[in-house]
Amino acid sequence: MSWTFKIFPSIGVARIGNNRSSSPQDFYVGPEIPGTVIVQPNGDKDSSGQVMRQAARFRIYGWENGVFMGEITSSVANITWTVELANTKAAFNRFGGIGHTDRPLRNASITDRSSLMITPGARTITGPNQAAAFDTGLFMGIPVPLGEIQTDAAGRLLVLGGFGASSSPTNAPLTTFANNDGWHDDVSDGPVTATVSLKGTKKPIQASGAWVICPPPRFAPPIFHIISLYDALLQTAVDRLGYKVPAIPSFTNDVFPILQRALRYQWVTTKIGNKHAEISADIPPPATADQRNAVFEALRDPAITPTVDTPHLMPAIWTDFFADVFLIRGHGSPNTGHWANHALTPTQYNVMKNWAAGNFINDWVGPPSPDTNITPDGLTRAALENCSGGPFFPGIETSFFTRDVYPYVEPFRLDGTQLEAGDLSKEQAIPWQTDFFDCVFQSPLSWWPASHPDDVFTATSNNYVTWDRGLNSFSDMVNFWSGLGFLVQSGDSVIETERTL
Amino acid sequence: MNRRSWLSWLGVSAAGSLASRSAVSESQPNSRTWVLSIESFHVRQADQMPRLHSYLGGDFLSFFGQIHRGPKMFLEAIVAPHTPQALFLAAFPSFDEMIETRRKLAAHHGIQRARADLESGEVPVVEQAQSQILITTHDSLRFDMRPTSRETSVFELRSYHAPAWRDRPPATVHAAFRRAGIHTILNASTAAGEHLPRFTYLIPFQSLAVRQEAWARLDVDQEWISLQRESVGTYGSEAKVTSASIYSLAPYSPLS
Repeated sequence: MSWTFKIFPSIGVARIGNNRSSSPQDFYVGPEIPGTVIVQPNGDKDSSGQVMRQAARFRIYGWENGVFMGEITSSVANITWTVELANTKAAFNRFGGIGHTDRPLRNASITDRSSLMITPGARTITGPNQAAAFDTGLFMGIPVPLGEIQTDAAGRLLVLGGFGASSSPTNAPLTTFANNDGWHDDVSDGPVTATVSLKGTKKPIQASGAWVICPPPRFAPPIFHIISLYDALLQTAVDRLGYKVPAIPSFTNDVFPILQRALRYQWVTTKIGNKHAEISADIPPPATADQRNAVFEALRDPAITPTVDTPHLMPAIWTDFFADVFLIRGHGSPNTGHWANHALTPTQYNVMKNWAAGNFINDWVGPPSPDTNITPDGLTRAALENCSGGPFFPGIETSFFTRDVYPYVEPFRLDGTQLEAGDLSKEQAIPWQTDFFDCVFQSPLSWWPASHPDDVFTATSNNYVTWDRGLNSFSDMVNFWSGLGFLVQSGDSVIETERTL
Repeated sequence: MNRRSWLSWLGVSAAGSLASRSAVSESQPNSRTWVLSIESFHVRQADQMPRLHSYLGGDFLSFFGQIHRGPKMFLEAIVAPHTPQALFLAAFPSFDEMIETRRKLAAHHGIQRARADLESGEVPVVEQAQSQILITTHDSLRFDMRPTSRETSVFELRSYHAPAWRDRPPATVHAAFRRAGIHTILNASTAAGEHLPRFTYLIPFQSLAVRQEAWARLDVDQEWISLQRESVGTYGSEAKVTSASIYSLAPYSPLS
């Protein structure tokens, strides 16, 4: 009899926060069931207004001779977890966009490149209720803690990221959205591995490894990205691993989520406002062929060259190739600028194409309720659907390298043997706050409003207000990001709460 | 079976069981059989398990013991597709007796109160219940043969889809099991459902390590290998494991 073990989620997401406590009541575990929104009983901040960190919880599942057995906990096995976190942004190339990866180094004048890499090394813990901190990493000689790992009472792994602390030991100015020499932040990423010894057995078995990313907070949890990282990496699986998606889409599982996300963007950007209201007529299905076609014909075809303008087509978010469109070609027309928007993934687009043609399964019995069971694949999906799948310029949780370049051993599972800790975040802006400041609505399109809302409603106003109002510079974002409000569902509306600026 | 069916198990409605009864009647090989009911109760959160155990080991077992004459066992999953999970196995001399027992349970005020308590609160304890009915002969159900150590022993519930075994596993299968150290305390055929013919075993092991070693011995047993080869030659596939879960004995579980 042979066992195989795998860690899930295969890519986990632990979000940073400036509440530094590692007590369980001071952080929360990220979504583990697709479609669920984590609602904190007392909000996303503590009583002093500090943002609580989101832990990524990893579990091990076992198969015996190919038969799925279930989750393996410390009740039946000795589990040893090893995690490595690193932040190598400052030693990587200056970000210049897709197709411009041969850019000069950040901090090019510094010859000791290792002094730019926050690499505390790996941490290993065995058994339940253990902990270890990533507190030995240095940036230009200054300690930069990246977080910690814990195990819970069942021996599952919890990864907690950094604290949103960005600074410059040389007091360098913040001058660009992505490449600020002399600066560091404390986002990170790295491999998660484990060995499993079923109790009484002698030989430990290596579990198939996972990866953890520790990006900035997501300030609009009830709003899902029109293209999530799950969608983007599903396309990667289709393109590079031959993964098959159903030939005929389900309205409930495939079409409805896209329509719903488009509808709900009204809560994070005035650009959409009530312009998507007509989509409501398509729910419930089947709608008329004209209604379906009206939606489909408003979508950009992903086969169109990314730098080509497709005025007024959806989704209204920027292309990955923003450098080529905006920075190189210029600002375009005074009225609209360029409209080189990011298309849905080919798989998403095909879903909508089939739906428009009436080629879909009408399985509608109402909005789907989230599953009630935690499953291996569900853990991965829940983690990734809460991340942006584009535009990657450079992106907020990870970069286009994760989608286009890095190798996978199976869908959504990176080949950790060919990657190093820090690889998934090294291309991101340094510090993250400068890109976060810049990625507001940039006429005529948005960036990733489900992470950084453009415009929101408050509990006391029926008119849109700018979400990051009051923050007027890169430095403001570095110093006051934790004062920004989180969005919550309030009845039929989504409103801003917990703003402390 | 969903939470509504969890109520039906307790006798609120027996309609769902009637189809199974028909299947059972057709498959009963002789009168010396047990009708075995296996109920699994899925709980959402581990901290709710004590409430389920309190119910099963308290009011439920107290009354059930008064009205039920056959073997019964309560287990808790330690490796299963869904955990936390409790498993309740009960054998009945006949299908009619099983139905009658369920009816009495459903009508009992103490059980009704305890069940209502279990269902109260923002999150009911039992998220989902699943049920299966198996048929076994008297000499194939030996709950009393299990290991005496409650602390270390584990129980594996394992099902095979084995077209080559037809109505019942050949004696050579069980001989190979015994040589490997696999001593079943239940082997039963499934009356209805997927992957038929399906054969289910409950197997105690002194520990997980002993279990591993036993299955490893079976894998290299020459007669077992021959059986599997013959199965491939005749039916195109080996006897295949369709599910396997590992349990520990609940502290209150009866010994027979």
